[in-house]
Amino acid sequence: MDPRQQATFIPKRPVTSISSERATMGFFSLVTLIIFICMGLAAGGMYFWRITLQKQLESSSSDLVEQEKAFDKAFIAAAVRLNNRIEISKSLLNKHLAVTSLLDAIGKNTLQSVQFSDLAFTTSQLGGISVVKVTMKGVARDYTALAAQSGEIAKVVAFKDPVFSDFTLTQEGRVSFGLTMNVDTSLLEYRNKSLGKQQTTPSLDTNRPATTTAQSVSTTTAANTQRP
Amino acid sequence: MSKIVPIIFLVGSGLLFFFVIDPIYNGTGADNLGIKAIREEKAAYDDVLTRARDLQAKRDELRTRYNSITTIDKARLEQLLPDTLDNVKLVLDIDRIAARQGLKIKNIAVNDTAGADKKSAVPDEKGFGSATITFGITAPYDVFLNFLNDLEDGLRLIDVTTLSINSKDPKAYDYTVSFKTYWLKK
Repeated sequence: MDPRQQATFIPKRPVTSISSERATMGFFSLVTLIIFICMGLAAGGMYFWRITLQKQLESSSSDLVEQEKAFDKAFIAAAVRLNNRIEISKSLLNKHLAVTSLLDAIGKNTLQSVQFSDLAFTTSQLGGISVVKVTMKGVARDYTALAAQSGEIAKVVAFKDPVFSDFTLTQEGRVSFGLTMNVDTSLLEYRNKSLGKQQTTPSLDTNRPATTTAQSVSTTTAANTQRP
Repeated sequence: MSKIVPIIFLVGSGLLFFFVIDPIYNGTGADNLGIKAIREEKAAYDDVLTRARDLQAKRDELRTRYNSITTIDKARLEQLLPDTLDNVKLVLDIDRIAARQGLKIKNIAVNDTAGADKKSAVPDEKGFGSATITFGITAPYDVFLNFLNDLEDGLRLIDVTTLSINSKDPKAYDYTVSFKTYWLKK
């Protein structure tokens, strides 16, 4: 042993700094390892989660297809059409007018000396109220008869704003005229007519006996002898 | 060496996040949906399925109501508002009603949809179409009223729009009747 070489137990560098560095590195490695493992687990977990979700999605999709099949579109279409038919029929029936009621009312209020020849009516809306405008042409025996007829028409509450016009003396010495008036729709509404009589089951293409109309016509016959 | 290991772990963690976890969660396109998109789609499906179940309950209720209407009533409704104008059958029916009173209808004019006069036969936006039919008839007044009553009481909906009376013969008048009839639009 070289005597010049003195043995020493004092380390050239401090021992504590090396061990603490190693400890720090070890701890850091451990933390990063944990992070890495967590990331790996998360990646695997998410991969299987996605597969599960995809299967659930496919299952929901097939469920929806089955539900759609179970819907029975043909039935839905038939039900919708029936509903439309009912609603439109209701709407049309509410506006449905019975011209016989109008003829009946006119017949009852026409004098023997007056004869009506043309009748047309239109339905319109006036301030949200349904109004039936009736236009008629007729012939009166003379002006006195026409004046009497005018008075007769004015008495009927359901006839609104009657206007006699176009007075012309015919070759036979009679007076032809035009009459325009609004008629209360309640007088013409079919539902009022149908409520007023006991209905059998009416049908357009069956041989239904005409018992329902006989009563109203006989009434007209008795009340009115001044038909056109 | 010991310094490299944590760096490798960190870089590996970063690579895992950016190249595996993030694409799995957010997806990389329409062909490769991520968890986020799949969950949203699944939620939408679940919502639709819930609604579908509600609708099925309503459909069952509707079927019960539909079945409660008898076949006869459905047939009557179809007569009231048919699927087509079917003017030939309508004219035949009117003629049959007239024959019941011993009358004969004449000069029938039907303004159908295929005809030139489309103004009077137009399926409108309300879901139904209407056509105007005009015919002539000769009859005593009482008999004509009987005929009109029968016509009004028929199941097919008919709205008389104009009525013209010509009194050449005091016993039998000439009438020209125009009426509107309807059908359910397809």
